[in-house]
Amino acid sequence: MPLKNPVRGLQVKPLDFAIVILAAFGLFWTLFSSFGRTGSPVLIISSGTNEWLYPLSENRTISISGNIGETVIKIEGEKASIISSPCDNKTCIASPPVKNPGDWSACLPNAVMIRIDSKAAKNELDAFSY
Amino acid sequence: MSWMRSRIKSGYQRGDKRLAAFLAALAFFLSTIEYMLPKPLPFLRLGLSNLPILFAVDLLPLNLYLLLAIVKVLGMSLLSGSLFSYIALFSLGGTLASALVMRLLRGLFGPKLLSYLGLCVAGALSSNLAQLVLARFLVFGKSAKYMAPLFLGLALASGLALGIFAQLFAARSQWLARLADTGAEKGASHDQA
Repeated sequence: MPLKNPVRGLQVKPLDFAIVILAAFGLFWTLFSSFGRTGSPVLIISSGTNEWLYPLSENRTISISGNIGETVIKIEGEKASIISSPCDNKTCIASPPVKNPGDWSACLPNAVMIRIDSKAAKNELDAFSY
Repeated sequence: MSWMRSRIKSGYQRGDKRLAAFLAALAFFLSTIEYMLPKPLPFLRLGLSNLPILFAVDLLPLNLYLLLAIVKVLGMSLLSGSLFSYIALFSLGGTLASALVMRLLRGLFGPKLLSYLGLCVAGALSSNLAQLVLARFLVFGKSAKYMAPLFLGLALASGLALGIFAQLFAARSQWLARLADTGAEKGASHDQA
């Protein structure tokens, strides 16, 4: 008995290609613009209109007040991660630690974001930080 | 024959409402399934509950189509317990952007030029872009731009996966073919009347 073709009906149309290519182009453009920086990494923590910068080289625990409570961030071994959050789903705690420029993690319910940027970008940020 | 036109029209609308209610229930069910599935990565969501909206692009009139999108958001928010938080606003923004872009694309290009695959990728991208814009202006400010690569990558991956599934399902489903035929027949008789 012949096997049924598993992809019968998968006819890709011309505009399907166009949309996928456009999406891939947009993805690569945002990747290059976000990850192109080099230099010593620093941790940037944002909550509302406030931003704080910390070197990744010093181990510490930071508590940040957000929309619904305190988010606790730990810097250890040149990596930073969210270790405690008042949100329900705890997706931010499950996220892998951030260590390289361009890495980020965020808690949407508490409106707290942590990200890594390079030292060059840090100088840039100081010019317009709040 | 205005009475006949109104009878056909009201019958057509009743059928549409039943179909919209069925698709809304299906979106609820698929939301539940998705909620139960473990996520290999945080933020990774396949968007199973978008399938009824994707098929409704060709099956429902605009008002019921938008109503279906809103009911889907309400269902998802009820399931996740985020109905009265601003997370629901992100869900609403993403779903409406996706639904409107898919409807607009289908209005401009027929099935010969654009299949469910392209519609699904465009819908997933619009949804995630709308959520990025909301994150930029409501929550994270300029830092939101760093989320763009992950959001776009996930939209492309989930849009492709769901679009391929939708295309294969549409090619095999007798239920969908019957619905499309019924809609076309009713539309034709409505035009004649």
